[in-house]
Formats: sequence, structure tokens, C-alpha cells
Amino acid sequence: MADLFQAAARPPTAPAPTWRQELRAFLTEPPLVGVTAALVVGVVVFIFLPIAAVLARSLGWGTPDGLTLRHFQEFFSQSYYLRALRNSLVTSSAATAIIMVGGLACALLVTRMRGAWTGLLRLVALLPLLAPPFIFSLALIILGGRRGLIARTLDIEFSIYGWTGVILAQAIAFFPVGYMMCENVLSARGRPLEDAAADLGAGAWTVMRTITLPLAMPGVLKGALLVFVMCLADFANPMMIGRGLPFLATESYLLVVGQQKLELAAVLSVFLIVPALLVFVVHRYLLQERAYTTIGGIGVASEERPLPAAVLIPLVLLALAVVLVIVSTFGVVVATAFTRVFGLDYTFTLEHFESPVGWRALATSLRVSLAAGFAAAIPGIVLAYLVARKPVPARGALEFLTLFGLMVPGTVVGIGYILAFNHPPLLLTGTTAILVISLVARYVGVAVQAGISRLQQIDRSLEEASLDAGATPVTTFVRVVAPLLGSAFLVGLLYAFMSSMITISSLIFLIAPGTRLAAVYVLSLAEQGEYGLAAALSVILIAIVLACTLIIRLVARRFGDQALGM
Amino acid sequence: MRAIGRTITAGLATLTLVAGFVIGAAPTAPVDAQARAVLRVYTHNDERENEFFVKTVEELTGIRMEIVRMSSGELWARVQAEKPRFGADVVFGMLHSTALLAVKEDFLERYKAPSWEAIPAEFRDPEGRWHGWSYWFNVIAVNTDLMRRKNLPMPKTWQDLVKPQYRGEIVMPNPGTSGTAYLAVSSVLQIMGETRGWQYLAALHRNVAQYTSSGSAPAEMVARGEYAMAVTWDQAVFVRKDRGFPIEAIIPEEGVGFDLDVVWIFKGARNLDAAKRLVHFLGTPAGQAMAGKMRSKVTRPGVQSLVPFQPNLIKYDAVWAGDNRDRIMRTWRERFAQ
Repeated sequence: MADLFQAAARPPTAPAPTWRQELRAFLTEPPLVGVTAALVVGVVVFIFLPIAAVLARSLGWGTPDGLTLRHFQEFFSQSYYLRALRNSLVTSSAATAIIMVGGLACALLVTRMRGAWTGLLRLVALLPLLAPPFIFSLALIILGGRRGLIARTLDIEFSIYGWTGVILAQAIAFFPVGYMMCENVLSARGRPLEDAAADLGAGAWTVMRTITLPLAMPGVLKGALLVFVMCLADFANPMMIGRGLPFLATESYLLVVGQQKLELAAVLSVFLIVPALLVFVVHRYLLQERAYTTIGGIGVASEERPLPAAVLIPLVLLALAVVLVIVSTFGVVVATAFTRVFGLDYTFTLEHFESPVGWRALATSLRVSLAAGFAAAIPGIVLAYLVARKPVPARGALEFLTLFGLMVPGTVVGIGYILAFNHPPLLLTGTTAILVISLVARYVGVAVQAGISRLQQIDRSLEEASLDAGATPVTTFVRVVAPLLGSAFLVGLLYAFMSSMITISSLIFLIAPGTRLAAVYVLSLAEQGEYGLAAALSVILIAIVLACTLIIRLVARRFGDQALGM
Repeated sequence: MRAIGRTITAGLATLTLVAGFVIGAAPTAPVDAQARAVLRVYTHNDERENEFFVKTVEELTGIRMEIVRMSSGELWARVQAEKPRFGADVVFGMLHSTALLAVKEDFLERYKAPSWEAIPAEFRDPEGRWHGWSYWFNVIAVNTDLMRRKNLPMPKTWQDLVKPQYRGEIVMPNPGTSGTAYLAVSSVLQIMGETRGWQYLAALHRNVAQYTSSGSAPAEMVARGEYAMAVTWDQAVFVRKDRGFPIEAIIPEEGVGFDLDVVWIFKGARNLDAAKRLVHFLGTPAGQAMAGKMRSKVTRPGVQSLVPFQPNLIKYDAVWAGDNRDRIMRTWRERFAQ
């Protein structure tokens, strides 16, 4: 999943055909035109349109006033919203810094050391991926509230509410993303150079300072930007643990659900979209992976050199801190789920699991997420094939749009869906379909990227052979290409499924009676202080996501083996 | 021609494939018959109450309620945004003052359920557009342990809450979202009059440590000993006291506002039959007994409810509270939103 945002580097194909030739080639394949048209319509209507609707609404388009900058003026004239902007920027930056330092430490240990404990460390680092992100606020309140475990055992005045709480909660929730980005850059990069430097007598710190870190920097920077955007877009943690302080994403949510001020909410959304797009552009066009990987041979067997104590000790301390925080928050959630009243009455109980509304919500979540997983993976793979292999006009723009859904904050997608699909001809609000479609729009990009990178590893000659032997392009795709894309399909499916199970940001605007989802219900419970019920439902949710992940992984391994003939 | 045909076939095939999964997630044909028995409900009741009500209503009447729970402010905003195509059939659990607004906007279906004739007329609309199935009131919640540890005197009046020694020890819900908070704010304005009332709220604001979005959350914080005092509602305190927390409800001497919790049916309800059956059920002794398991006061005389004591209620003017809601909210937000 981490290689998701790496630019798909396309090998230059000798004499590049002109767009005229491409168009002609494109039009000679009618099924191709049909499939492309269908997918383009889908992408434009369900990804581009809602987000464009948000931008248009922020400028007053479609309101009785007509085009105006009034709503932006309102934003800038109220110190309240400016403070929201400041709070969001400060906490997101701080959380990002913590994540990247911790993530780098853990990734260095996992990639440079041996032993079963590194596997365990990796597991812990990825653990927060399984839970709804705001569950960490709940754990932190139980641990670090004014009468939380910490204040009580140490008998001190201590309160985690406000900036501290938001920063910590987000640092835990988005840690896996930062960690994966770090692991990804460190796993392959610069080993031979490190060896050379060490052979020439450089000390461990010198190697770290002058070789390892500088080489990893661009990748780490990319990761940091990504994490920053995710923190900025998070609205649930600030809402729960932010002591009522304003934050951008939280305010835009409250403006919609509490006051129906869609224009101002759209303005706030713009401030969330702009950094997201910036990150996107930096990712794609400024930090092209290849620019930094000109050095070092591929596949050079490098001798394992354990990190010396001077480097190891600080890293281990950092990693221990990460492990302690993650494990204790998960521990608190599990303990809260199985005790009568955590902090007061530690009697074991299963009473929090008796929740008819909760189980019903879980069933809905499972149904919606599975549908979203398949509905994202199938067109995702086809899109990948079209973009990577076929002379589809404007394929760059098409790929860009599929990633758009991934980068734009969920709250913005949710607001966009209300704006775009709350009236005929596309009256979709209140249905299950709108939940699934919004999830597909957000996560289809993963399947596309996975498909493209996989296709780059598969030689074109296979398809050419099939075509030369007389098979039609459709047959070639179905019989030759599709089986080879199995692993990419599963990556796309798994990512969309997992994310759909635990996300709330876009869905909270779209739920209706009968389509209430488990993660949204957990948030409502947590907001009302029903910690036991909230924790119990989270535990079930985590267990389901974990089980499904393992099953799909297992299937993937088998499927992958067969497909690749290994 | 064949080329065009193949183009269209391929396009349609793709659409069908994807749409299949999207629609596959929704309960379709075979569930349709069952869907008729499903009642779509908006409510501001607490989730723990919903868990109990959903189960009990289904057991006793066969009606399957599908619920979306929102705070009162969110619920009313959503209803206004959705008009005239409401996303629910009924609202079961909402402020009396907003019911009066909904009557003015002509959102509500008329239905005079037979069971409600035994319930005093003051608790229901003469034309059957809303029915008050329970009522609740503001209380000040205190954590008795924490008060003792911090050596704080028990507050006896609303006026006591602005004393400087309580600074940073009070939690209150945000009236922008919470009906509990709006009841408290509008009651204070009715008790003290607007000028003195706003002065009082400004003084209270200096003591408030944080505003929460839900009306029950402050009770939970006080129960856990995070803060010493909270402005909240009766039942939020009583359920937590039952669970063993060191929490007490104090009714200030000036009196507290109360709000009737109402049920109403939307015009254009998809499942009008089940909606009517629910309203009828809530007026029956069985329905009122169910409400009494969760609420301290129900409206049918003689039905056992949770707390048999007489709170000091003011003559709360729900009509005024509804009419002035927008203005009060705007002023509050301008002055106190952090």
C-alpha cells in the first residue's frame, strides 16, 4: 500500500505516436471505446462533479446570490475561523513531526535489524490501521483525562484535552501511514553506499547522517506531506478531545450538520482541498522517485551489518515509546469493552456486546464495505489497463482524477455528495448505493495504482503474442492480462474494504435510517460518553477487519502463486 | 454499425458489472415486503435508550425501527434541509419547541391515536400533530468525591455557578447542537429576563471549562471525575448514579426548565401505518411503561417512571423558546463560541 503514491514510472517507448495516431488506434477498437466511455462517465460524475460542486458552492454558485466572494470574506472576517485554521495547522504539523520521527526509528530497526522482534514491531506499528481513527481519542481520554488513569495513579493535575490530545490521537491514528512510507524508502535504498562508506571507515553516526538519512529524505518528506493532509482532514479526533476548540475539518462538519450553512462549509473545505492538491502535485511531479535513485545497483547482495549501539539505543528508545503508546491505547479499548465501568468497577462483563442496534450497524457496514471493495477493484483494474496499455486519449487526466478521490479529504467528498446528489436527476441521498459509490470514488485510485505498477512488471510481449495469435483485445484482456493482475486486484479490494469499514468522514453526511454504519455509530456512542458500548463495538470492528484482511491475504498468496506460476 | 453495437455492448457491460456490486449492497426485491414493516426514525434520544426502545418496540409491536440519532440542533437542521422530502417517517424523541416550529412549517401529519385520550391535553397537540411521551428537565450534576477533595461547596442556585471558585470546573453542552443546552439557556433567559440573563451567561462562560456537542456527555465527564460540575439533564445523571458513579443531581432553587419529549409523523411518511401504530403504542400503558424505564417522568398518569420525585419546574414557555430560537442561537454563538 505504501508504494501507492509512487509515481508510476513509464519506460519511454521509442517513437512516441502522435495524438492523432493514438486517437485513430483508439477508435479502431469499439469495445475499448465503450468501456472507456462508461468508466470516464463514472469517474467524472462521481469523483469530479461532487468536488467541483464544493468549489462552486464556496463561490456562491447555485445560490440565489450568484457568484460572489462574500463567503470567503465571511471566513476571513471572523477570528473564529482563522483560529480554526491556526489550530488545524499547528496540531497537524506537530502530529506529523512526531509520526515521522517515530516512523523513521521503527522503520530503521525493521529494515536494518534481524530477529522475530522486528516482525512484532512492524505489526504494532501497523496496528492502528485496523481501528476507526477516533477510537484513540477515547482511549486517551480514559488514560489521560483529568481523572484518567495517569492523573489518578500519579495523583497529579493532568489534562489531555486540547492541542495535546488532538496531536497525540492523530499521531497514533496516522502512524501506520508515516511508518509505511519510511519503511518503503529504507528497505531498498542505498545499501551498497552504506557498505562502501563503512568499508572506508566511516562511523555508524556518520553513515546514518551522510548516507542513510539524506537518501531517505525525499521519501520521508513525501510521507510527511501525506500524513499532514490526513491529520488536517481528520475531524473526529478534534471533536472528541479538542476541548471545544475550533478546527477546520470539525467546523466544516458542524456547519453542515448543525447549521446547514453549506456555503461557508464549502469555503472551509477549500482550505482542506488546497493542501491536499499541493501534496498531490509535489508527489507526482516534483519528487519523482527516479530522480533520487540513480545511484546504487539493484539486487546487489549486501552483508547484514547490525546497527552499532550508539545508533541502536536511541532508535530502540523511540520505538519503545511508539510501542508503549499504541499497545496501551489498544489495551485500554479492549479492557473498556470487557469491564463493567473501566476506572471504577473492573468486573468482567459481556454486557457491552448486547447491542441490537450495534450488531445491525455492523451487518450494514460489512455489506457496504464488501460491495465497495469489489466495486472499486474491478473498474480500478480495468482503468489501470486502459491507462497503462491502451491509446486512450487524455489518460493522464483520467488517472489523475482517480487519485483525486484518494487525496481529497473525506468530509469534502461527503459535502460534495450532498450538493450533487440531493436532487433529481441523481437523487441518491438516503440510499445504500450512495454510501458504496462515495467509497468507490474515494478508494478506486488504489486499485488503479496497484494495477499500473503490476502492469509495468509484465512484459507487453505476452499480450502481443496473444493478439498475433488471433485473439481479440477483449479476449486478450480477460484470458491473458486479468489473471496476471490478480494480486493488484486484491490489493485494491483489500484497501477499499478495510478503509470502508473504519472510515466515517464522508459517510457521516450520507447515512440515513437503515444505512447506519458501525464506525459512525461508535462515534455517536463515544460522543455521549457510552465508552463501554463504543469500545465493545470497536473491538468487534477491529476483529472483523483483521479477520478479513488475513483471509484475503491468504487467498492472495494462493492466487498469486497460481497466477505467477511460482 | 457493428462497431457501434460492440461499443455500446462493452459500455453497458461495464456499467452493469459495477452497478451490480453497488446495488448488491442494498436490500432489494425479496426484502421489499419486509421493508414495508420498517419504520425510518430520527431521534435525539441517547443511544443507550435507543438500544432498549428498538428492542422493546420490535418485541411488543413488530415494528422494526431503523434509527438515525442526532443531537436536537443537528436533527432540526437536517429536517429543514430535507423538506419537503423527509428522510424519515417519524421523529421519536425531540424538543417540544421544535415540534411547534414544525407545526408552523406544516411538516406534520395529523393523527389522533385512541390511546392518548387518557393522557392530559397539555401534553399533546389538540389536532394530533405531536404527542409528548415523557418530559425531562435540566439539572446541575456534581461529582461528590471531587467536590469534597477540592473543598468546593455544593451549588444551590444557578447564581452559585458563576462563583470564581468554580472556574474551570464546569462542563456544559453547546446550545448550537444540544437541546439540553438550549433548554438551559432559554430557561435562564426566561427566569432572569433577557438583560440579566445574558449577563449571567457571560459570567458562566468564564467558569466553563469546555462545551460538548452532546447533552449527556457532561454528565459522563462529571461521573468520571473529570470535572466537578455540569449543566445537563435529569436522566443522564440518574443512569450514571445507578451504575455506581459518585454523582448527584442538584435542582437549582430558581427552578429548572423542562421540555416535553415528543413524537411526530412527517407528512408524506412512506410507512404511515407503522408510524401511526408507533404513536398509538407510545400512549398505551405498555408504551409508557417502556418510556418510564428510561425516563424520570412520563406523561400518562399512574405509570411507574424511574424517579418518583417532584422537581422544581418553572413555567417554561416552549412557544417563546421556539419562536426566538434563531435569534438566541445567533447571539450565543457570537458572544461565546470560542
